[in-house]
Amino acid sequence: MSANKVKLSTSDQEEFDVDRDVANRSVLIKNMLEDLGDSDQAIPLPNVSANVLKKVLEWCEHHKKDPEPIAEDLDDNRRKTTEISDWDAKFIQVDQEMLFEIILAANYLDIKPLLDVGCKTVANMIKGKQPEEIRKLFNIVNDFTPEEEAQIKKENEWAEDR
Amino acid sequence: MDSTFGSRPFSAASSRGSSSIAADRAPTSSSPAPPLPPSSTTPIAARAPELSPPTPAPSPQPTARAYPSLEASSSSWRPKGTPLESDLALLRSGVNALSRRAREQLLQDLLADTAPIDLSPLYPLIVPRLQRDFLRTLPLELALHVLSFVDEAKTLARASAVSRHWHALLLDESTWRRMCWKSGFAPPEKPAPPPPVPVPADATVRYLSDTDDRSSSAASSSSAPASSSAGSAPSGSSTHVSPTTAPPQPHRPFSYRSHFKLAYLSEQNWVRGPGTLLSTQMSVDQGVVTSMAFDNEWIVVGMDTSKVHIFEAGLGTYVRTLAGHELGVWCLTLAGAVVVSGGSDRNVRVWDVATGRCLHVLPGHTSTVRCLRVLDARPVAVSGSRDGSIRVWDIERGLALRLLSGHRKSVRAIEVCGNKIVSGSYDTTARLWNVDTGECLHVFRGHIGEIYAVAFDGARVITGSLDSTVRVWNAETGDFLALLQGHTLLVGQMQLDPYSDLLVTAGSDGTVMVYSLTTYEALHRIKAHSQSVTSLQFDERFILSGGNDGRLKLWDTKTGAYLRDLSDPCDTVWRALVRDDKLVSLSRRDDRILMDVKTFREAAPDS
Repeated sequence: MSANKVKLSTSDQEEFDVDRDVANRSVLIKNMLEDLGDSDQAIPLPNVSANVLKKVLEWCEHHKKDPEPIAEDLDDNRRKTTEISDWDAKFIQVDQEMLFEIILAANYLDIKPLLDVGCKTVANMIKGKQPEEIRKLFNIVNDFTPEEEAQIKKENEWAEDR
Repeated sequence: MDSTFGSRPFSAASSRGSSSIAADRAPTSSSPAPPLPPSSTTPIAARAPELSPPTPAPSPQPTARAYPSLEASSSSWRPKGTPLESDLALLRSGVNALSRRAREQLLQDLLADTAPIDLSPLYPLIVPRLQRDFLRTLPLELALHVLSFVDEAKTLARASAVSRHWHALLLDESTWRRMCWKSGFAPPEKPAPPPPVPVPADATVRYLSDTDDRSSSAASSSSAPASSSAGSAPSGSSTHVSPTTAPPQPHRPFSYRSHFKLAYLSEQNWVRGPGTLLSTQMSVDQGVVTSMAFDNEWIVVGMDTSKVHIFEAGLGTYVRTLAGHELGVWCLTLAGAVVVSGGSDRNVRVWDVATGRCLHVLPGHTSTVRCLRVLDARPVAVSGSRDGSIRVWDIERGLALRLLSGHRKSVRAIEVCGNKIVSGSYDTTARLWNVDTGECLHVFRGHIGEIYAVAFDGARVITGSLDSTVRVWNAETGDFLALLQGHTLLVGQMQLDPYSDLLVTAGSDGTVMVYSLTTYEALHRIKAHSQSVTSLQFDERFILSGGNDGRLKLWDTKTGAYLRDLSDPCDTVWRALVRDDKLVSLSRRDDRILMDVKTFREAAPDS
């Protein structure tokens, strides 16, 4: 195998040949490659299925030339942007199950920018919605008793526009 | 593929529209609904309601006759125990044995072979399977990471009403700590801010290193002196309206969530709420208010009548008058347990604010003491005088430490940062000094008019002048950095915020200017008052300006937009200061001096 290629093996035993700079978007894989040195062995990714990896690699391919993400300063949280680039927004237009799996995979593979795109997308889905709309969107059962619901509504009145 | 649909009463089913559940489902071969009884002669619609959940799929139209029948296809719509059941199971296990890729291919092929109308009933089955309660099924730290991208309190509050799990998740402090931080709601110095309560008579006063620097920068400005006459102390005619003084709950543990809620509501109150008038102090004193400072415990007011009046800050109740100055008081500052004051009698006086005792009288200046500052967390005061000198005092021991000479005319304004001070003078120059060595580090020359206001953050020196300009200098090198224009008359008020890198200035032209110190651009030019601005203060949300036109106005710092008037119209607003959610304003109305103490704090404890 070329030194510029990396072999990845998914949970459902599929193998992907990937450019090294694409695979390097994953800090997990990057660290593994550094530890392993040059090897023909496929890197096992037991937590990622082929469907999801395909999607994740699509993201990595598009972002392979991005500068290394800067370690996030905790104090910089206030400037944390909720914006998503046009390409990413289109990329992440997937069903909820795939979105969920992408978030888990990005977390496992340690691809912080992709994790953020996924989490921002979920956050944006919640924004501005009423509780009932959120339940409907995510198929969540309202497990409050009517009394609890009334109590929480009262508790939250402060945040509604007055 | 002979259709047996013809034998079914579909006309009846169709007429019942989509509410006819059996009709919706019957023609689909893949619907995993409970098996039907064996007889196919019974009209399905007749027993439909107990068969399967409702579905939004449309009822089959007559064209449905063209589609395969239940019996003809390998349908789950088969009574138990019929021969096809085992075939189905076999088929299914065969499919399950396929590789993921093959199974996917098969599903795709089946999909391609199926008419849309037959896919329709699958839709409500598939969608919920693809839905995800993200916040419940993601690992906790990822769920919180999602919430970290929500920056609206409204959304967070609504999210907490979704389900029990979401409610519990939204109690997590990290989310609210971030919201406090994002919104600029710094946690209070004391863990649990009690609602305003009167300070007991025997309350001990602690030395607070953080004197209100905002008050000092705002208090450095000119006010309009009027005729003075001897007067009495403010009478105790306070109208005490305080319905919000619920007993404090000191044992409630601090929570960012509660803190955010209170701060959020308080911020709303600044814009919309009436505020709670804690007290109005009215004085028969005919003098003019020259200076004011307040901290968490005291409000101190200096008069041109030589008096200094003390009020407790909780409710604005009058406490006492400090008598000792022989002529008008022109400047004062609060430094924890002491008040330092200076005026026309050329003396600097140090008072114990709690007892009213004069601790030190510091003579030295040969003309009116015009400006005063106390160093941060050090008992060292610096005074500027019309005699052109600056004097440095040890206010603990009552000693003159140093004389800083250089200005040729009156020293009008002083600002401190660390052990350095900046002085602005009527000689049109500003100077940077080291208080500990007495060395003059830089002389800033450029203005063509008297300097009336200075601001200093350690890195930059900013001066406002009678020549209507503002100049920015490098404190390190002494270099001139920028000329900021926009005012048409004297610039007498300024405040600098190093964190937002904003400078706000105001002057005799009634205008408030907001400048970026990054680009030196004028961001907003606010025609705030019809007469000179006497009082100015800002934070990242609001700008407060008071003017000789008798108005006290609130502006949006980011947009420069007018938000509201904060006071009833009066003749003149002399001074107004905000600390946390409390506003103290001194004004003249109908020849009376009025001191209003208002709070915009949301008083109700979190439930």
